[in-house]
Amino acid sequence: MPTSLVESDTILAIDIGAATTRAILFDVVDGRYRFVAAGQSTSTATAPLRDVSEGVRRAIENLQDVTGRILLDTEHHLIVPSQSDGSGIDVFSATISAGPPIKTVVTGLLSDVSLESMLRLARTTYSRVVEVLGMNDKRKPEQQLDSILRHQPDLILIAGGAEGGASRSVEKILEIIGLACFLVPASKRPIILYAGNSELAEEVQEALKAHSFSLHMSPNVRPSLDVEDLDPAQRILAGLIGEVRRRQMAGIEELNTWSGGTLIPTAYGQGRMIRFLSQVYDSGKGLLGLDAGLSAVSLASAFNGKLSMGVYPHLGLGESLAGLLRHTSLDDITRWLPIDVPVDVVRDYIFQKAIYPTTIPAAVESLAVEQALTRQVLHLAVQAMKPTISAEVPVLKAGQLPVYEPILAAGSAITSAPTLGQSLLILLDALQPVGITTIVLDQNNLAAALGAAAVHNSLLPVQVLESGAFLTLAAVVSPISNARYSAPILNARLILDDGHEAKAEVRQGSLEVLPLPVGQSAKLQLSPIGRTDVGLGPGRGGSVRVTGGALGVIIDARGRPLQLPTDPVRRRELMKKWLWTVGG
Amino acid sequence: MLAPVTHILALTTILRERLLPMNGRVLVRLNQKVSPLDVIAEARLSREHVLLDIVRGLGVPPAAADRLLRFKTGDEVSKDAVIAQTSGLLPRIVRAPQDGRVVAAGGGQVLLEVGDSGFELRAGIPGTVT
Repeated sequence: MPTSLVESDTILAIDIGAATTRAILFDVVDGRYRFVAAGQSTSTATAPLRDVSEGVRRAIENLQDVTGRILLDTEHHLIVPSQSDGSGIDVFSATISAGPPIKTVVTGLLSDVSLESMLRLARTTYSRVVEVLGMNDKRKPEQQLDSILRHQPDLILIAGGAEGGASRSVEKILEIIGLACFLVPASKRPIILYAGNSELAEEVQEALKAHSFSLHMSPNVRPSLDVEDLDPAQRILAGLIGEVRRRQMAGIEELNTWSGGTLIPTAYGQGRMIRFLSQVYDSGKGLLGLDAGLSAVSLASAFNGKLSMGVYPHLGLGESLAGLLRHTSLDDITRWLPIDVPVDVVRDYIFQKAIYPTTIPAAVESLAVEQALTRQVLHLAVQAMKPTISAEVPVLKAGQLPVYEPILAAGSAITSAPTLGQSLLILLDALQPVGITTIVLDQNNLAAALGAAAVHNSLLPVQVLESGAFLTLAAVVSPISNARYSAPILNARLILDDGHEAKAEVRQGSLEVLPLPVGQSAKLQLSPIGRTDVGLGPGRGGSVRVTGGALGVIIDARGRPLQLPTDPVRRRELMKKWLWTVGG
Repeated sequence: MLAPVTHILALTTILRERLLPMNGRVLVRLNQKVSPLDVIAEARLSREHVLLDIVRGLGVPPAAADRLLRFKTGDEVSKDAVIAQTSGLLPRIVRAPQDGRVVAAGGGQVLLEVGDSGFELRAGIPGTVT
């Protein structure tokens, strides 16, 4: 790790997504680390190649074309370290989100203690829980055994017992797991992570080491009944995902070697970055990162360095769409459509997209359906994550999203929308933020890359963030009010540093835009009417400094929760009007 | 986002690997021509297991139970076969509840694999075995 910029590193970060593999280059420019360029290529993790290295090579070659820098030698090997002629790199980091959801068996003792903690742990990565074994499971041991064998899990998470607590019940579970692993051919045995009573560690080793593909130990996720500590297990689990993927696709081993054994899941890299930012931004609010990808929707919520994560593979915008209608209805999807699209067309699009996940909307109708799907999966992910968000994150209204500042959004469905107004509306409709926040777009998927590269270089994330590599979309004020529709609820006055002013009388149900050029700072005076709460307390006004985004300052007074008209014609007209308001 | 690209290639050889999900038997030979519906490999797929608690059945310690076992791992057992039995005038007996195969024995327990069915792997595409 460099101790000064005199020994600066050229850093190449690779992200392997379900559809796209990205090669991202960071280097020192004018004495500070900056995001230089990104290259991309179609991912080759799936058939016919099932080898990620081809996609990685093509992405690096694309990066070479973009930058004019030589990074690969004549034999297509990375040039390490960087040379005096500017070729080569010094540090390589990699993240991965490609691959099918990891079939996971979760075991613990009490359903509302260790089992619940392990389920939360499983939800922090790209896993699909296929079986849950607890102390109160009424099935016979052989039925539990058969269920595990039927599901052929890739990963087994075992918890149970506070420190110094129950051991007999854990031993029974270990017997079943050991038998199940024994019956499976050696090459297909699952990876096992034990995160329970540390006094049983030796017993676990004895029972399972010979019968698992690999056995890993972690500090207890539940050291006592009222204390949960997922961080150490989450860190180890992130490393195990790479091990699972190594068994599923070629090329991962090589990437892991290049990165010095630090290949991590994309969601974990993003979570790391969000946690770091929550310590840097001392705003008294939480910080939210999200990624609406093909593999999964992932959310990372952090407050003062405490991170909560949720990764939802069943809500991914790729192959997982085939099962989306098990979690939501077509009505809940079509309510987001600004144009009239027959329900059958929407259903067909969902299944076609599941079969061909890399397709891009090529017509107004398919774009509308794609964006409606994005809203709905994000909305579902937020609802699923809310119970796990730390109680320390301030909340303005029960049942609504806690107060976050900023909100960092990634995922092509959002960042590659034809207009920034569409990107913003997707986020405002799906997340329904409250109070005062800033919406930032991560157009190059840098957050995860920075989170992975931070292991090698701690200066890099700080300086890249300060360099404006992310696009500030808008400063958003979302007041909460019980006033009737169209009643005035807020007066807003934006005073620029050069003295120019913009004013708005905000009515309930409206969406207002106050122009503020990108990068310019201004004072925003908010005068709530009645008991309207803009995040400063019910009825309390005040002044805040805001920085202009690409779309200025947005006041979203459409209500929280957002209530859409039940009449489809009226609803579509309203959505078109909102879209027009933010620039189309 | 990247637009998907389709390649159309003439005179192309497609190689497809067909794998059994568990140990089994390959039924074809090298260079044999197969059609999509031909069965090229088969295996025995066990869907159920039965765990016999010999310790409880015989009322003896685990080590003694293991000594009294009449079958070992891999043995086929038929329904009602005596798995283990104590000696004496009134012996206690543990019998196999169904036809099956012993897949694990020890620690005072026996795991039987029962109710298996055949698994057939078909070629899926016409071609030549390489």
